[in-house]
Amino acid sequence: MSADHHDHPPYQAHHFDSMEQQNQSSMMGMWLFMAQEIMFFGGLFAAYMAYRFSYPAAWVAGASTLDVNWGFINTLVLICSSFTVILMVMAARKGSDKGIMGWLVATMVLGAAFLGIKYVEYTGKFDHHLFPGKNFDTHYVMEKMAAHPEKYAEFKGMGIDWVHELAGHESHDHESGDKHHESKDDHAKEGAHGDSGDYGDHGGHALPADATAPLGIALYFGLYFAMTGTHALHMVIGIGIGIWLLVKTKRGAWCSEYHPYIEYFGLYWHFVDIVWIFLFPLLYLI
Amino acid sequence: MSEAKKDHHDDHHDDHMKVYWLVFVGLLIGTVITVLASKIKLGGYMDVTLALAIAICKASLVLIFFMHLREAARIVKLVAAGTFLWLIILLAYPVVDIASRYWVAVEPGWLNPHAELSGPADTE
Repeated sequence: MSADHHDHPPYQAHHFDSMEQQNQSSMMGMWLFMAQEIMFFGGLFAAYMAYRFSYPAAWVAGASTLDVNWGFINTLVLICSSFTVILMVMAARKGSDKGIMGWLVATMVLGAAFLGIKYVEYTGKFDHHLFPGKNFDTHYVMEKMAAHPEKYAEFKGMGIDWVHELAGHESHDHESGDKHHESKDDHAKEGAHGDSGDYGDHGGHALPADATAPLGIALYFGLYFAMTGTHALHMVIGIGIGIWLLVKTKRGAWCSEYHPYIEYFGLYWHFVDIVWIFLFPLLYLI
Repeated sequence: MSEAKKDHHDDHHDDHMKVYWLVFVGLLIGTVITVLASKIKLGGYMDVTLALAIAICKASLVLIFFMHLREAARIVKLVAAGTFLWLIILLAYPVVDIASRYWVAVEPGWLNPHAELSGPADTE
């Protein structure tokens, strides 16, 4: 403690020899925090992997209920938000508070857009009774399966023989045109399965009486909601931190040499982006 | 802006921005590639392997450039490397276990959740 307290800038803590040492220490702390975040998501990915190995047909059927376009747009939105975060950090390194706030707001707007799209997707899932629990219903999944029975060719002997039979029929009457399947007759048959009229988007086939969803379908949706939900929660927290940083920046807390939370917010946001980079192909593109 | 007016700091900044733009474009292209690649059915585990390979490339770009690992202190690089080592252990052991369960022929209903549903005729 022999160092003169007036020798260092006010934002350097006394117990650090230099700003470089302080920056390295806090940066290491941030990476340790992210290490546990990565292990936390790693557990979810391990569960995903174990169940996908066990119930491959359920994963194909589950993914067929997701809209790849929404997932694709959301991926682009997140990548753009990662880039605005980079611009925010670069503005901070230049010492521009205006730049920080502008790019921070842009990042949060993109984050909110992501969550808005996620809300639309979740609403669709709830409407189709795909949230595991009391109201879970696989009717919509089976309709999606019937629409593309050829996707299940490699899953023989897994209790979804009705799809293989449909695939067999498909090859016979393929030339008659798929549009004709959606006749009144088909709708009448589907009526026997209950409230199929609510589900919209008919695949063009009546479901046979012995139709069942693949074993483990609830696990797919359980993991879908757990993984995207945890990811979305991280985005909500990120936006919350962003608002706090906005206030702090407005008060002039940073300079070009000292803006640690801006840097760490950037790291956190990029990490959330990376999680989505894996979630998109693993949940949507099967 | 003339070259003479730029000081060293600005040069550094512009170099960084050039790299960030390239990484940004690379990530967008990678996203398009992963969607296109998913439309090609390679069969077996090849599809998910290809998707993961593209995702790992994209994640590496973000980690190395956007998250500044390239210019980070050695202690920070060590923490990051250690994290991914543990992550690989976390994922690799279950893979070895679960994937290898289906390599051996198993009795219906024992370790194979699908066998009993396929009926005895298929397994005899």
